[in-house]
Amino acid sequence: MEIAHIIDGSFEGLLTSVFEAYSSRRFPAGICADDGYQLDFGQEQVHIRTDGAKASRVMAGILRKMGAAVYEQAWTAFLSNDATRHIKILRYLALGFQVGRALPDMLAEPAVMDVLELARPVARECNKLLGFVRFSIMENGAQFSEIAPEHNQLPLLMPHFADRLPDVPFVLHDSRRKLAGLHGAGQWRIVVADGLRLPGYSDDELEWRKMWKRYFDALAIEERKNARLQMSLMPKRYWRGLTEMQPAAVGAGCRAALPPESAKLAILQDPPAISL
Amino acid sequence: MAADLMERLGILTGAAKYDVACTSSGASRPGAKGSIGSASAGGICHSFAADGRCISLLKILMTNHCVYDCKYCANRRSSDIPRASLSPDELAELTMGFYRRNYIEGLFLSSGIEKSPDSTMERMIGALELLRRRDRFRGYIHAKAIPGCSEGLVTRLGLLADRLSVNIELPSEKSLKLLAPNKGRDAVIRPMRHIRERIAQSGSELAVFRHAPAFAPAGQSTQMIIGATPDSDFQILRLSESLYRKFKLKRVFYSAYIPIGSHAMLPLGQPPLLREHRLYQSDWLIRFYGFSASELLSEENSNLNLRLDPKCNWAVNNLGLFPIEVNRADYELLLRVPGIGVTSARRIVRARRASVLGFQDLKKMGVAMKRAVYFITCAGQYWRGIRFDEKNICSNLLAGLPQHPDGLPEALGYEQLSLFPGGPPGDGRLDSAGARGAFGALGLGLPDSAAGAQGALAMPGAQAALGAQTALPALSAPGTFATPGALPAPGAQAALAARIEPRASGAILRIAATAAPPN
Repeated sequence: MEIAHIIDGSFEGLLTSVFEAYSSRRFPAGICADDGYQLDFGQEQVHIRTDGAKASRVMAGILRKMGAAVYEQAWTAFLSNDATRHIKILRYLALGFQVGRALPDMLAEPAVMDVLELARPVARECNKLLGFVRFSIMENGAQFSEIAPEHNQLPLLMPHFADRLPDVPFVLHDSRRKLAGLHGAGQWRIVVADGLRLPGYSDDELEWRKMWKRYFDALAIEERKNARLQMSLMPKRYWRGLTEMQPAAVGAGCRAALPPESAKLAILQDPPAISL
Repeated sequence: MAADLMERLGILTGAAKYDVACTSSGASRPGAKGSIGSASAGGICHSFAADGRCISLLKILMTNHCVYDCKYCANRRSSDIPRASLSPDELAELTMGFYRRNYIEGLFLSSGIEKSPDSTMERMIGALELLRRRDRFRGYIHAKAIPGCSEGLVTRLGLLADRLSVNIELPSEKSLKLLAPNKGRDAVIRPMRHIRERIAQSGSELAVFRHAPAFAPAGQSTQMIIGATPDSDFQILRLSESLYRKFKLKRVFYSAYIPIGSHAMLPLGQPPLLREHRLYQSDWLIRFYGFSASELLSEENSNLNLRLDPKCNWAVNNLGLFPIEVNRADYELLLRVPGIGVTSARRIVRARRASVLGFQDLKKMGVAMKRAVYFITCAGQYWRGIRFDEKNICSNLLAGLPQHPDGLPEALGYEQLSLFPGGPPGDGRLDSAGARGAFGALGLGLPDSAAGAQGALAMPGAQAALGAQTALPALSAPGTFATPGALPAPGAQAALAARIEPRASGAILRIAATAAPPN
């Protein structure tokens, strides 16, 4: 009988699943996380208890046998919102344990191509968001931005902004996944954030948005207007967070611009002191 | 913030918008405690303006007052426009305010010339010093070196900025004299040469002392206006080629001329956007694909085909080299296939070590099949239904192409701007071009290659079908193959001799022009 692994949805959980597949010599036909992959009828469910020690052994094995690029590829693919990602990553790594460092070259192998195709849109969206994130500066000096990405981008965005703004406390809120990346005191972490209560904006925050919008409008060359090109490079789903794409009454209609009324969880009242 | 700052921001942005460069690439610098900002090697686009151009930097002039009177420029002395200036302090404040909010990747600072080139440069340096020293800004800075300024100032500017640029503006000296009487050739070339030398010097210092100050680590770029003067694409591309090769420029930008200064000497009408796009495509072919300007164009055929992209155009004119077998062809040869780019060519070379590649694999690797299928075989097979008949392609492509579809006047025999005393520039290929291995030996890229290409088109079909390797000698090449892998194995040769059928007429003409941003 085919088996399916049930994991907790973490990357360590997935690596533990890989470990169990080898130690039990039974490879799952599917891996189900708590986010939606449907089990086939007739599959035996095996619950995998996430185990840091087993996960580290698998990780060390990947790094030793396949190299850091494969590990990174698997990790990026894991951030995809595709519900079949876990089993695809397992098949990818299983092939890797056979062929070793040749793995990333075997692009004609479905297992390799599948993971490439998972990772590609994640990297593409991350690339867009590195530019499209818009911070607001709050009255307490901290910065806030809301995003709603297709894929789980906080683990990729946080190190970038933490490096770029080392002395600035900031919060990056993924409203789609109800997660928040917190940065302060030289460290960052990602926490579950079901609602946010924000401090007010700094006095000149709206003034800065107007300045930016003025700049944005002044830069376009009338004779070269090309709305289609603009839209294909900056798809509409990002506009909500882009202050310059809001109508002239700056910020109105931009959700990221308005402090949510029904806030549940308070963070950012003070620059977060974070320990990891 | 000063009350009229918004107004001045609008004016000085409007005045800077015709400078096309907005890339933030080329410098890689991590953040640092106590500072703000970092630079990412690939550059980051933060927004896209209504014209579809990437916004990466705060692109602005310090002032749009100008003592010069360049005919093509909106800020020329005789132009009746609102004028404004920013103080170094205001400029630093704007940059930091935008940067912290992640609106921008950095600053692109240029300026009109209010009194003299030197005093203008002093003000710009003042602003950059505030940013780098007082505000501890580690983001990207692109600064314009003002033509005619002293070398000491260029040196100071280069130690503060990531990239420097001097705009060449017009591709020939005659055009420059006519339209920019205050900017001589020397005023442009001298700072460019100085920058090149300083960059080289800084590179060798850094090799010895890791903490030596870096001079313009993201290199030097320039810009040319396209369509304001009758200079041909061939002149433009040859100039770009020499700038890349001799001045080690990182980028040459092309800017379709937009009639902003009505003047008897300037054309009116729509900006030649498609021509600009074709020039960018050719520029890419020269920088990344091992092409030389003289392979793409010649004295006789001196303007780019607007209906076909330059790579397709080249391939159709050199059909004798195709089809190539993707499982065996050199990387340099793969790069020459329309529809295969640098990324997909690399993937092919990696993937074929592990297995024999078919068309489906290529598609997944990102090859643009609608273009590539006419020029390749996979394991000896053509794409199903593809007919390889050069006669049709040839007649369809060559039939009545308008010479100057932009409505430009015929070329008036302008001389190319001479940058390099002693010998015409761009007379050959880029030395580093890897394609020399496969193509240099065949005489492609020499002035008479046009004739060779014509000959290839008239070749009997069967010969073409044998693939690049066997067809090549028909070009009356010396017959030497630079790479051992170039000759197919006997068995493979038979496999390559696929049956040729007349291709559907005009199929290749459906290759669509794609619109891409200039940077």
